Amino acid sequence: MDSPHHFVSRALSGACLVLSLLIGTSQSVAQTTQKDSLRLNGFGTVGMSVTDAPGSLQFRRDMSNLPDERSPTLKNDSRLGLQLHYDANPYLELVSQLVFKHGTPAVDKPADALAWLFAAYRPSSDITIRVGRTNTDIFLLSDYRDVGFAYPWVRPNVEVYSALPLYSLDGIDVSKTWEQGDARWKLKGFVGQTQTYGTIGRGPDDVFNFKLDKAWGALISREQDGLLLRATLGRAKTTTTASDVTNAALSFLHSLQSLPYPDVVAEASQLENALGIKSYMATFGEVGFSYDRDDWLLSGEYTVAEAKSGTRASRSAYVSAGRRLGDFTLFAMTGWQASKLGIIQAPNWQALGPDVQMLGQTSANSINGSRVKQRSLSLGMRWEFHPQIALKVQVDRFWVESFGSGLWVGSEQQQAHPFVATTALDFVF
Amino acid sequence: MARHLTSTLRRASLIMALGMMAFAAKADIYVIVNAANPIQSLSTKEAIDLFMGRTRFYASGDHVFTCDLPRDNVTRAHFYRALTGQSQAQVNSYWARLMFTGQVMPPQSFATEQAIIDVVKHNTGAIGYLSYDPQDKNLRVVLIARDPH
Repeated sequence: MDSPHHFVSRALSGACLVLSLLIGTSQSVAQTTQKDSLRLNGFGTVGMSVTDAPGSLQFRRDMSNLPDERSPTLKNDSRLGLQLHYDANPYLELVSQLVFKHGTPAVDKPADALAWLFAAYRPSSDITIRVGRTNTDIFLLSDYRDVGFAYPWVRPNVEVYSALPLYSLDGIDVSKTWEQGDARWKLKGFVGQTQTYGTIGRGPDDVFNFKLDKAWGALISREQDGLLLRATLGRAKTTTTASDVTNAALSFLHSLQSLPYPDVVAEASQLENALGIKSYMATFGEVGFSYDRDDWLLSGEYTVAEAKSGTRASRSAYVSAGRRLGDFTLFAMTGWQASKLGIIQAPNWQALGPDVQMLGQTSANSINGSRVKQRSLSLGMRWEFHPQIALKVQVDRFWVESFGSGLWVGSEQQQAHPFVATTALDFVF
Repeated sequence: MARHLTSTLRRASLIMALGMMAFAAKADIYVIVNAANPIQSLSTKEAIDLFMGRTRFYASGDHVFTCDLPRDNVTRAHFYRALTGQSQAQVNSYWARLMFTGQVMPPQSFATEQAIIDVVKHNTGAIGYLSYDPQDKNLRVVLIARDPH
């Protein structure tokens, strides 16, 4: 039998619990008659991937991502996003988004997590003006490439998305929508600047900073009956910042161009230009489609990147098909990318000394190591076992041509056929 | 005996009619606004534009406050299938894409249909949906959406 003290204590605890429940309920009822002006939402992925590749090749989600030397690893596809949305009034809203994910260790800092911070003004129902840090709307999935729950695969196609890890733009964009019958059109223009990082190896000297100034572009899209078509064109002045070691090598290549040997001058110029460590204008174009209707999911994109320097000039494409079967979605995707720059032959500078010969060989290796020529086939399944959680399994097979492993860390001069298997849990809240 | 048979047949007919009405009513979703809202009716397309985030304004120019039910709610599933033909999974993916573009937020979610009624009654610009006709003078039904399934 309980002592009086124990009984009173339990009774008081029970009363507090009931009271807190009633207060909680009444508070939620009171709150639900008002519109929430401030909303906090989030998304995330816990993804584990296993890679089977020749010893020197390591898989990564995109070129700003330094892969884990270990396999299996959580670092390729795991991330957490938080988004704060404030409706100041019907015409003005403020949005901030942070995304935490494994990046390039040499540059990881809290500011890297700030994906968006912008104010959106809607003077009318069909026009939106955004100022601040927004998304770079150059791909079909630009707006949500980190939101795994929003698409069927573990990750967007690497041949198209990996080489351009541009997630945000500091500037302004203006969009206008209109309707034509049942079709909904959107025209958007943007201008600003952005920067990103790429890494070609594991050392601090292998990290490059790409800054895109005076970036501008436009996109047009049309959506009707589940079919979305879009086209994008963008242009930017690109400046690459490399390590001191790389810059020293470039200076030496530049100095070789003053020698009275035309062949050496031409070869040194070719190497310096191909390394792309200077300012150049880059142009990007994209056409894409997505179709989501009657349990079928189809999508695809074709991109063209042009630059007069470096190995960034390329063509890439992917196409994907998926079929919903209840809570399951089965999908297949194939992708391809090819650099425009051909394989660079190492110059014969032995007559200039072993150090100069080594410089020529190293430069050629670096250029060839950043070339991309590969294709892939991905098969997988998505199981949406909860309205806010999805489990995915995906297997990727790659065909990497000789001197075409630029999307990987490590360089493979021979052909390679790596496998990557991934399990991922996507969620939104 | 004939009278008994007739009575039995009438009762059976009435039961069948009531059953069919209940079945039809179960598949109908009632889109409601505040009675003070100038909107008298909505087309399916206008309702899609409001609930799928394509516009934030009524045709009158007033700002809209859209109300939704939880993601796993059966009435919600019926509503979006009736309105757009899309499954719950398709709608959830659609909002996952849109919401995290920062361009538009999904309708605000409320726990129950009664909560939606309370909100719509307290906000002239609010719009929501119910699985039944509320028969309330403070509310107006502007669209009846029928789930084909």
